[in-house]
Amino acid sequence: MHQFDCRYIIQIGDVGAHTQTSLFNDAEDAKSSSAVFDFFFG
Amino acid sequence: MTIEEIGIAVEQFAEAARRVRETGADGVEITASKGYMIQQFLNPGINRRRDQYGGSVDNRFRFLEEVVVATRKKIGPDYPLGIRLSAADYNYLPLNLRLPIRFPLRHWYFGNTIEENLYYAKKLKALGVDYLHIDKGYGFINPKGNPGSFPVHEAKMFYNANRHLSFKAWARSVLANSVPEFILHPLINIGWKDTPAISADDARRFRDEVGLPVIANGGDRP
Repeated sequence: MHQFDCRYIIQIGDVGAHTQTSLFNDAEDAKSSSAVFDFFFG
Repeated sequence: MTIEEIGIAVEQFAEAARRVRETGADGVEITASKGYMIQQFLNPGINRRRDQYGGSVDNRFRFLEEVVVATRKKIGPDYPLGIRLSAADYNYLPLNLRLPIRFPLRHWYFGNTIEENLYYAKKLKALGVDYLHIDKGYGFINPKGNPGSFPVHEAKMFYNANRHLSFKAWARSVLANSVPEFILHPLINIGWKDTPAISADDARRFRDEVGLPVIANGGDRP
């Protein structure tokens, strides 16, 4: 990016497609502040 | 999450930010919106903890506060640090399918309002955050995050792609594919509007009342 004279920031904390489409689930995927059943987003 | 797991997560955020600086990027932004982990602590409809990380407004902020402090320590005082923060949670949009129901009901139904998030933003400024990226709503995808109508077919592809990860993901996929679209569309399109610059007004309020540079989220969708 800098070669094209562009500045950029990197966003962290968004699990994104890597987690959502992984072949197997990991225990970390289910971590949350509380154990709430959230059908739509959880 | 246990207290130990919270400590590990805080350290992981800070380490990730350190690696961002190491790559040569010009800054790092921490996602405290979109329904991911940090917003799950901030949102009173989701955070039902009874320890120092849940309950009061300040307790719910503690996790983000620890992440910001640990991150700043790792990246140094001179490196641009932003927070992507939701202006308000709108837990009721498009469908509040969260159980058990939380009391007081306003926590379950609305989540944090703009007043609570303005309070968080002022605390973030005091912690040395350089800018805010103002998002809207809770969860991804949600009606306040993007203008337009609910991307039903794209969502179905997403649900299908991750249906193997859990029973709930499988059930969500089955429902999305089996409910006729003339029923599905009006249900999950609740709250979606063709409003350009959907979070601009709230972002302006954060800029004026908090005094930090602000990026607004949610432009036009083609």
